[in-house]
Amino acid sequence: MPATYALDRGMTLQRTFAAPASVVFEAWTDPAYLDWYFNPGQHTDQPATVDLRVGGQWRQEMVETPQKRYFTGGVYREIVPGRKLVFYWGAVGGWPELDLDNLDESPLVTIRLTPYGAQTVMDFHVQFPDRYTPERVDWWMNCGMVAGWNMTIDRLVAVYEAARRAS
Amino acid sequence: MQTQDPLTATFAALADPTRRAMLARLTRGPATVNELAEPFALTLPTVSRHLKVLEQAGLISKQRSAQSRPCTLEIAPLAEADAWMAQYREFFATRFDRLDTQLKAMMAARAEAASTSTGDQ
Repeated sequence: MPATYALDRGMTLQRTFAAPASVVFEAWTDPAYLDWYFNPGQHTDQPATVDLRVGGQWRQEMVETPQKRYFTGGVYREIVPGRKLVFYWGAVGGWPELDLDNLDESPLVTIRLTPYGAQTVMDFHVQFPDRYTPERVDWWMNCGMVAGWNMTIDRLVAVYEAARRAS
Repeated sequence: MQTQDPLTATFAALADPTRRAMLARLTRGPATVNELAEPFALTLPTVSRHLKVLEQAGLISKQRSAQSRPCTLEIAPLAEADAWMAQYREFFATRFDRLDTQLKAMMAARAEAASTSTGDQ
């Protein structure tokens, strides 16, 4: 069964950067620049590796504390240089744990880069597979996984509170 | 399900697109079961089942007094879920602050390299 993400359970963040889309893409895909993904103030002596092709892997050691370290990264699903990057999030033997034979069990990350003058708008989207039960999604979240529901509860709350104030 | 913590119940209730659409309708004000059922090709028992899940999660309440028993959105569990999710948004927001710093360094290095090569000419 192919992976579907139709429920759109996940979260979206948008950021604008003062750099061309090609440079933002480089910061995501060139191991020489991936340092920003590390935890602040920590150090790893394991260089990041990137095999930038569809099906290729990106691996990087995360160091939360000197005692708590793990590999993370992804398997690329779609690569459009300077525009779009889609990867299954995780690492074999790392976190999130990723099974190369069952990639569609992994959260899917989509990064879209849109030039805006000299700047770049980055849309970052994490999606959970539809086959995840709510409990499974909840388990991921409780494991420190970044998540949420794309129904943008905050917006729902804002709309309701505005309506309540008006009445 | 009885032992589920409130946040899990909230997210389980929100996991269904029909229930989310019902909540979205209720942001515009209270509605009867019939009004909530209208946009969907669902039987009333199915709609009632969805409403029961929402009610048990504390996301809606039913007015007992009125004959039509309209449903009202309850804001507290949503606000709680939102506050909880904020910490996860924060995780990435912090990462992207660092990406911003990284990009500034890359741009500065490139500008310097460009001015050096121009100076050589």
